[in-house]
Order: sequence, then structure tokens, then C-alpha cells
Amino acid sequence: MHGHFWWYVARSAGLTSWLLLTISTGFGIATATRIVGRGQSTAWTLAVHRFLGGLAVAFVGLHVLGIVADSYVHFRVVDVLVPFATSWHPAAVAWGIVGAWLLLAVELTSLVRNRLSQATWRWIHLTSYVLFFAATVHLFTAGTDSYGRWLRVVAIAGTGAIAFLSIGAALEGTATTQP
Amino acid sequence: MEPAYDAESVKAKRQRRIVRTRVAAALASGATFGAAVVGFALHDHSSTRTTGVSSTTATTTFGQPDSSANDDNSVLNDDNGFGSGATPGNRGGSFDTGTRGS
Repeated sequence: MHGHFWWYVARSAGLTSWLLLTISTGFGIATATRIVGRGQSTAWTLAVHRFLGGLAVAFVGLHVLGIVADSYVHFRVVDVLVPFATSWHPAAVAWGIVGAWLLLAVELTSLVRNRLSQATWRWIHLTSYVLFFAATVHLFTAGTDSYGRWLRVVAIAGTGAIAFLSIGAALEGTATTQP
Repeated sequence: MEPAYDAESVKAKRQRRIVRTRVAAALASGATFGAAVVGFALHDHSSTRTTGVSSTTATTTFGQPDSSANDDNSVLNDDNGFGSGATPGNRGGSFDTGTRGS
């Protein structure tokens, strides 16, 4: 266990961050469209959405830290920050890097939302769909755990839930109006 | 006599509910993360003890520039964490099957 500590941290943090991202995205769409939670206050769903997004950022940071810190997998810092800088599965890793940068952009612009125009914030926030897609592709192509049956079931269920909510949002036509 | 609507009370109650949810989410995330770490460790340890021969098999696969070696996923099917660690390590020529949960 000791020799593999950072390796396990990287894998576990990656999985946890994807789960958090999925739930946060679901809450975001639900808040925007009121597809679910009609009995819940918008303040509550929005607070949960924001908090889970923040947690996802923290776990993505831990995921990246674990990969760089692991003594066996020789990833340089530039390899985990710049798409296609690594020679190991460059496309698969690039999906993760793009997703991480998008997540950072979404989070940072949400923190300074009051200083941005509504349109600017909204367009950047809508890249969350691209972010979720990139993170999911990264999970299936770069993750060594993507072949586990249990993970496949969870990933398909999560992706299906987001797809369902997205379609609902599109049908309702209010996905970009709130929050 | 109707009870008076207390906006402050409602606001405080809502705030407490949000805080409780945040604490629960943080605990659940930590528990998921911890369970995953322990699960991977136990799974890799179990794989090492029960399928020790896989190290030899994987080394042979990487050492041969045949079609199976070109498919990186071919070494990932055992889902023991061996695959992704092995490939980058192989890049630097320090492929040690004994240290990566095979």
C-alpha cells in the first residue's frame, strides 16, 4: 500500500471528482430548469450545485497532484497541464486536461459572476456540457479502472442521467435563463 | 390567531439546511474517496497474490512489438492498475512489473 499510495490517491480522486462533477452538473441543470425539486428551494439546489462544483475542483487538484507525485508514473507537471505534452495516451490525457481547464474556468467565472456580464458568464457556464463530456471520455479512455464492471455501470448511469436532464432542459427551453 | 411570519427564522432554517447538506456532501465525498483508495489497494493486493503469473505475462507482452503490444488496452483488461502505470514507466525504460499492483 505504502509504495502505491499516490497511485491510489490519483485513481480514487479522479473517480470521486467525476462523480461530484456529475452530481453537480445534474443539480445545475435541475436548478436552471426546475425539472426536479419543485418542492425544493432554488437557494438549496443552487447551494448544493456550487458546493459540489467546488469539491470537484478540489478532487481534480488531488487527482493531478497524485499523478505528478507518484514515483512510478513519470508524468511531468507540463504533461498534466498542457494537452498532448505527454507521450502516454496523449489524446486520452488531453481530454482530461481540457476538462480540468474548463472546470477551472467555470468555477472562477462563477466566483466573480457579479463582475461579468450575464451573457459572458452564461456562455462560459454552458461549457459545462463540454466539460462533462471531456471528463467522461477521459474516464473511459485514460482510466485504468474504466474496465471494471461496477464503474461502467455507474458511469453509464451518470451519463444517462445527465443526458436525460439535458434533453429535459432543451425541451423546456430555459436551460440558459437560470441561475 | 395566526402565527406571525418570521422571515429571519425561515432564513436561518434554510441556512442550517444548506450547511447540513454541505457537511453531508463533504463527508460522503471523503468516504467515497477513502473507500476507493482502500478498495484499489485490496484489489491490487488480492490480484498480486492470486494472479502472480500475470506479471510475467505482461512483461512478455510489452517486450514483444507485436500487434497486442500496440494495443495499450490489451494490458488493462485485468483492471488491477497495472496498465496505466506500466505504460508510462515503459516510456523511460524502467518497467518494473513487481511494483505496480499486477
